Amino acid sequence: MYTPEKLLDKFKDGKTLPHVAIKVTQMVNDEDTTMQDFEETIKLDPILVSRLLRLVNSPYFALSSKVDSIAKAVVFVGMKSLRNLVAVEALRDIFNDSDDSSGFSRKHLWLHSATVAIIADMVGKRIFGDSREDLFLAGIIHDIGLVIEDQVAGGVLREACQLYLAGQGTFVECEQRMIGTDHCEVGYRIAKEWKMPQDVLNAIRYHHNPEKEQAANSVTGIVQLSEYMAGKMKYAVLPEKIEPLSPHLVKHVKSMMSNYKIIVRDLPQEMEKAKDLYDPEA
Amino acid sequence: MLDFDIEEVFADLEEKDYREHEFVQVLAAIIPSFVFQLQKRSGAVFPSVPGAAAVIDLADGIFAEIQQQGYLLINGRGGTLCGINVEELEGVLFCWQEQKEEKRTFCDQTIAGLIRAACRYALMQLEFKDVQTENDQLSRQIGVLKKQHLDLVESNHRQYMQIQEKERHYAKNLESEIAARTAELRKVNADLQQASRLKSEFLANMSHELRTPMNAIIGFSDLLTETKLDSEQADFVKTIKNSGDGLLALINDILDFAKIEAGKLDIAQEVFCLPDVVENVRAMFLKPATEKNIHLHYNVDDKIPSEVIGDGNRLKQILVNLTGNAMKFTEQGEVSITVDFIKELDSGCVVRFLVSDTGIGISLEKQAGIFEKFTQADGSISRNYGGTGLGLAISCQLVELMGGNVFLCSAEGEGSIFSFTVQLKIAPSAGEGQEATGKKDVQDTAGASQRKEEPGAEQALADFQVLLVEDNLVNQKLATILIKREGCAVDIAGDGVQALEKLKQGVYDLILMDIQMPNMDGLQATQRIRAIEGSEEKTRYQGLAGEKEPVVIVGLSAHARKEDEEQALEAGMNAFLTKPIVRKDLIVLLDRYKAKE
Repeated sequence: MYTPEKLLDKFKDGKTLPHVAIKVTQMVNDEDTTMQDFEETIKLDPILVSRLLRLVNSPYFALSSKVDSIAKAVVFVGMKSLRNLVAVEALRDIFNDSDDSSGFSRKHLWLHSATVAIIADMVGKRIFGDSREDLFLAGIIHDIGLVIEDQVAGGVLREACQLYLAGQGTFVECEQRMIGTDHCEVGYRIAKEWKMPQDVLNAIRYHHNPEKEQAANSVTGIVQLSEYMAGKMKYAVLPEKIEPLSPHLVKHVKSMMSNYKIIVRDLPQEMEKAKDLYDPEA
Repeated sequence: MLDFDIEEVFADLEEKDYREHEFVQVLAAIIPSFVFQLQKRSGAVFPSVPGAAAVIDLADGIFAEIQQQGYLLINGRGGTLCGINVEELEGVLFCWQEQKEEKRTFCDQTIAGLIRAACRYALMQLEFKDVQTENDQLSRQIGVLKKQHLDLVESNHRQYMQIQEKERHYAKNLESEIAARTAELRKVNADLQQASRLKSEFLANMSHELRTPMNAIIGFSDLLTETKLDSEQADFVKTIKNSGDGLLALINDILDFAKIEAGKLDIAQEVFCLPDVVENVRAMFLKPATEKNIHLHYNVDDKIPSEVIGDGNRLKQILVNLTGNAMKFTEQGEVSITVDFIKELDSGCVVRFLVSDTGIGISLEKQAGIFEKFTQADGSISRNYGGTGLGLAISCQLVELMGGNVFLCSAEGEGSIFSFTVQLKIAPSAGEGQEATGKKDVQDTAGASQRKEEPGAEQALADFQVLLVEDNLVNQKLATILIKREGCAVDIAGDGVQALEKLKQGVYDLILMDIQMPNMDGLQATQRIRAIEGSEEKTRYQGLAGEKEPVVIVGLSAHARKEDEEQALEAGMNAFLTKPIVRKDLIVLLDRYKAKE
């Protein structure tokens, strides 16, 4: 059995978020940060610079002119979007660290995370008219706890999955029973160390907590919705068994049903545009 | 890639037949007119005015009919908006019309048309609703884009301002850092200057301390030569005297140099005779020139007025230095001093001095170095020619103090020319009233040497009483001998207090008063004496009670600065002599007051 601390301690021996990513996340929260500071920090990792520029110039951002520097990228897409891309780059490495495919696929989890991130972004914009960049970040990082569990206690995590599929309680309950903690708590803790914004921390911590009623337009609420939708579209960690949506979110979706159906309809197109972000082979 | 059915995604959330229900609702809204048409056409009367529930029932009935026929009204996989294919639906309705013959009795073509239209309308309503939803989403997305755009513009502007602010800040920091550095350097510089000044002051003090015993050595060896000595002893004494003179000259140089460094050397503005100064310099070197067989001559431009205002003594010092150097480094040929008139000024003229020789010369690369302190062109020269290298440095500084610069023109093996220009004022009227000090010196010197020739004078003036107030025993002794040689009686007091005691009983013609003394110094003593002379107190002092003129007090100090002399005169002294006592000066002084006697 593990405590969250123990899991994290073991995890930190291996791969963790690069310094540049943590620094960038912090800088975004600082009012006084300028594009120069941003550029100087990111330049510490030249590979990251070229990767970011590729992403900024990808169809996802649909910029009319080519961006050739980080400072320019800040001008055109903003610091927060750029921070999201830094997180994507850093997390992709962590997610795709192992090629283990027995029952629990990291690759699958990464696609799931990307799908949730893209849906969350769409829901925010299209349903709530909201441009929070935190939604994408929350989506891409919400299951980081699973990666940590998989890395440190992969065997036990698989047992928890089996337990869940066998109908022995919710997924979090099964994790608790087998591992001693759950991916929400573990993810929350590591993200806190990475200085993620509070909204994102909440989303990580509560995205499996139907008892704690989350407003539909909160980051947590949207992540829950997005995860449900992604699951229904077979992009779940365990697509065989999707946990139900909490009643108040059901009520919200029903009231906006046609809206949500349009999002589902347009999702494949959006995913295609964002392919550079999540598909390592792209 | 994504393998899913849109309808399936939310299937768990939707009530059964959600979409059908929606369709029925829309249809029911249109049905009242449909019912009206039914009544009108068939004459059938419904038991009561159909309420909403009845209408929905009727619409449901139509819907149920459609479904019973096995036609799919709702086509999830149809690919059109909301999955309803209008064309298909129309087909359905026609089929229904054709197959249900018995119902056609009250449902003719028109009613069928109405139903068709109503169904179409309901479908379009649904379609419209979807389009509207999509429109809403698009306008929300536009709103988001607008907001994002605005945020970006705002953020970019903010960053721009911040970058500017930062740059201003950097610039300011840089400025203040430079200012701090400058202040630091200034302070260090000031400290260094202070240190240099302190060193120079120390040097000045030391020189002064050195001069006192030197004075005794020279003075006594002078006196010794006048005693009966055999030739060997005379030679020894002469060596002592020469060495002493050399050492004193050196000490004087150091003192001058230290004074210049400490900024304590003042350039006098006195009337003097320029040709006399040059002549004096030549006279000084005439003997060694003759010995070395060097032709020494000088030439002073006629246009230069003979009486000018400036520091004749310092000018002489410079010329002596330069000429001395020229003599030192010249083995054969000539040394010449030339004074040229360069131009006239409002209140004076610019004069150039040239000292040229045919000596060893100075190579180009060494020329810059020789103006540095303590440097000679060649380190080995010191061994060959002697000298401290101070002379030229002092000369340079003196010329600078006079507002000029020393220039050198030289080639190795071909001799050197040192030149400098100074501004000199022209004496207002070089006539009778103001006698040139330079000339006076010459006359005085002549007078002194004449006096020596008259031994008879000693006895004649033996009654001239001198009170020597001096704390240093060696100086007491030397001064006593010198004064006695001039035929005067000497009484000695160790300080001001003792001097006053002496004055209670003794009567003196002249008091020779050292300035620096313990207990009561010379200035205080003089002030006291003058105070007593001007009051009733003088009756208690025999030496001061005389009805004739106040007693003559001559100050004596090692500090030869102008302000020292001024202070002395201010305190009530009649005259001032510098130590070490120059014999001829003492003679002149004594002669003056003896004459008054």
